[in-house]
Amino acid sequence: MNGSTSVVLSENKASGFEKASTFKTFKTFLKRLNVQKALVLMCAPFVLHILVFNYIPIWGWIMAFQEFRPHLGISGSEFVGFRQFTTLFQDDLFILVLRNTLAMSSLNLIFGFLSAILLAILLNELGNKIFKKLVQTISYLPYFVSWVVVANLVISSLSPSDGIINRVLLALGIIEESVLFMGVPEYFWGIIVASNIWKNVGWNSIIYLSAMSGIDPELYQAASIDGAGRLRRIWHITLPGIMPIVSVLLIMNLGWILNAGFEQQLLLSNPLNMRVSEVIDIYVLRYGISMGRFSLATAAGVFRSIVSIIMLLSANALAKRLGSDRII
Amino acid sequence: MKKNTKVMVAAVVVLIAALAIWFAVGQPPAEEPVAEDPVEDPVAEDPVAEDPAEEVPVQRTYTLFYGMTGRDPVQLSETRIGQLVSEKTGVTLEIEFVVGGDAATRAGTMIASGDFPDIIFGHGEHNRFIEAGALVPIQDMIADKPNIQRTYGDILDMHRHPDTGNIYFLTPYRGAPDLAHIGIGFWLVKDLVRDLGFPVVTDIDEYFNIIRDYVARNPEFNGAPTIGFTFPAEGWRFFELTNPPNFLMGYPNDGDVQISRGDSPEDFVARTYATSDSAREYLRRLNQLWNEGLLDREVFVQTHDQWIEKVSSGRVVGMTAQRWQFAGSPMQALEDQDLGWRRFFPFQLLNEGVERGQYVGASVPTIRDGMSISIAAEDPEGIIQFFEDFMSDEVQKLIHWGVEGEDYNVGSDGLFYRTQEQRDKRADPEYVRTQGTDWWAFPSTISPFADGNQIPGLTISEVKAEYDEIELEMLEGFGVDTFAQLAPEPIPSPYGFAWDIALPDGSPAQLANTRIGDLRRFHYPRMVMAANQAEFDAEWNAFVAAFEETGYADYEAFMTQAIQERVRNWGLLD
Repeated sequence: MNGSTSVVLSENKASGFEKASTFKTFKTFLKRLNVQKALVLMCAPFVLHILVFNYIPIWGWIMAFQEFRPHLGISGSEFVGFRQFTTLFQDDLFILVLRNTLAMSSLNLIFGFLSAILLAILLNELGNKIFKKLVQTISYLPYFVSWVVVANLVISSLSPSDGIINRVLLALGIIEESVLFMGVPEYFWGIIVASNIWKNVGWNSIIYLSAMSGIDPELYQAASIDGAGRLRRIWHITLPGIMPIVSVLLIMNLGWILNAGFEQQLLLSNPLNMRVSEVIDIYVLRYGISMGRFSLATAAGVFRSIVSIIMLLSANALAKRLGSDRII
Repeated sequence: MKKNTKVMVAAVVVLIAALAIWFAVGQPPAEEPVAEDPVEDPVAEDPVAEDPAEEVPVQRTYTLFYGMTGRDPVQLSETRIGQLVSEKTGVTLEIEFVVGGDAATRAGTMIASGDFPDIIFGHGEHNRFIEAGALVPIQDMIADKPNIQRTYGDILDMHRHPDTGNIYFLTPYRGAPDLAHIGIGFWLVKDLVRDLGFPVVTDIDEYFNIIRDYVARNPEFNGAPTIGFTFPAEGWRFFELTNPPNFLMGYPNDGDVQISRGDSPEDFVARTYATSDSAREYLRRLNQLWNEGLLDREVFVQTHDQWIEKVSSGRVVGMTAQRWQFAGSPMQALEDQDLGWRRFFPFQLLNEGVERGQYVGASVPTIRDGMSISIAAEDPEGIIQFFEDFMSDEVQKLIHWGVEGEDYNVGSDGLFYRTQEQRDKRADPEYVRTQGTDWWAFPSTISPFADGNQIPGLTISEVKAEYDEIELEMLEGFGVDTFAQLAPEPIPSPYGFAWDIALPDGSPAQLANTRIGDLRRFHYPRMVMAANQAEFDAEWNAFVAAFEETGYADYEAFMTQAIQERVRNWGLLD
């Protein structure tokens, strides 16, 4: 489908403004369309869906350049140019939440990838099928638990009075006095990353496991015969085997770099860690939507979309240069 | 192959057609007018209406949006009491409750689609409905309705919209005083109050010393460490830390400002107290408690559930919180564990030199929102007639007392009373649900009925009957009839309460107020948890410096203006 479209396009370009040729191209196009009509029709609902839900809403970006008031509507609201963006970038708090968002999502990205790949490799190396299935099932169950529940689990287990972590550390003599984990800002990002890994590692590893199962077993046998130990086999066969998937996932995830999550931070935040816990979404909610500053909220959204596109495209270009797989 | 393709094409065409139809009808058809047209001849409705005095009301059905979250979704008209109300008024209500807890979203979709029910109880979203032009002015329709005029008479003018002068709603909040309890203050476990001989504590240092002394003597309760002092602080409940300095100065609860008073409207000026000496001294006291290990260590990091769990355990000695934060199940839990004496009693503490506290505010009606008629209602006159009938003694007795002989009895002196059995029944949530005894949000009277009886909440005998043995013992110890008598008589307020003044969306005042809130959330806990005096002072200075940058003057100016407007318009200033 992709290939044929580009062919049509290039033919179009070559034909220039010559009428006869244009007509001919158009005819070829219709002919091809006729041949592929089943495919085109099957695509139509999805294209329509994307148009309606992803493209048409973009016109709401107009609000970012207005002082939008709901009762005046988009047509009646005053245009203010880039004022919303200036407000945003002059607000120290926005810079702060931008930093927090970037920090938390980068940490989540790095550790999320490493932990999922590590777990997948460990599971892949397991010989005992039953034990493997058991570990896999247990490790991906937390994925289905909602953040509200996870946040409460985290807060309770880190509680200084009766939390399990403090009790274990006290019993082992590692600490002398229970620690107010949730109250120390320096610990917060670590708690976010750790709880994220706990919740998502099993689920994220599934895709790597399936990629590993696609690796030709003969490669392992050949390597064994050549005297490669277990670690060597992982390094030279398993990892290269899943690299294409890793690079595609990484590119796709880089587009979400300004989405560090929302519920997680909102639910785990408290007055003591607010300066490191607030992310863009919370800022948009508190200083935008709940104050009726829809334009400011939209401006933040526009900014985030643009950053996402830039990240996505540059990661893709980088992957192209490095010769790995890419998505566009 | 060819055939397969055709089948596929057909399938896809059908799919697209289905999608297209779905889009086309995406706009749901306007709600069909339920029930019969109200202008239909009532005689045709009921041809055997014999007694002309017993006018049979026109039968009609109205839809109602109940914009308050957390309510039991009870279809009142299907309950026993509700059916009787329908009989008297001719009105059946179809109530839509907020599902999923987000009234703002539901109100937003309603406004965007223009698809309104007949009656709207907008609650927190009330002003959005007015701004969207979704509500009908009712002042002309209620002008000749005797029941509404009688019960709302004095406060109807307060309902007027500040810009247009129109009346859009009837408030349910009538400001009847709570005689049974004092809902606010610094609480102390009841057995400690008893052991101290029922003192009336007003000095804040004395209060904290009582706690110090108690915890020193009783470091543990039921095997767990005693918690000297705590308060709820999760999320929006943070005001339980920020409000006390205002109360300690002898001001009523006006949210984040305190209001000066005088003889003319211009004397009413709002100012913030976040940086006041009272705030600093209060935080310093909490800091001392913290360093002595008496303050709940998790006070700023726990969820509200964890706080509730502590309060329900009997371990807590003292706390500050409004009663509704913990009055329900936590206190029930203590009773169930036979720890009724570990429940709490409130003291109204004051700073040195302050003579009179105003923890218990004046009983003023809250004029913020209420029952409104939407522009989509086909029969606004009929709805007003419903409220008029609803305000009759007959219906008011039904919703407040119930059915004579069943829910209450009439004594030989003509006064209403309930037997203990009847009271117990009403305390059962399941009974409330099925029988329809809770009509909160509907217009309600607080004045006596024609026969001299009052609603139960204002009938002293009923109020006293709600007290349990422990409470009766405490009343005896203090030598009073109701707990309300322990607080000084509330001072009337010509502006109501400032906390119900809504800040306009996106205004400098709102922005400043949000910034102030954020600053307090950041600095206050750090002061409370400061390791020493120097750290405390540094944090306080940083807070005061940052506070100057919040634009708080915008907030104060807006509040001052709004309050002076109320004082002028309401005319309650003597």
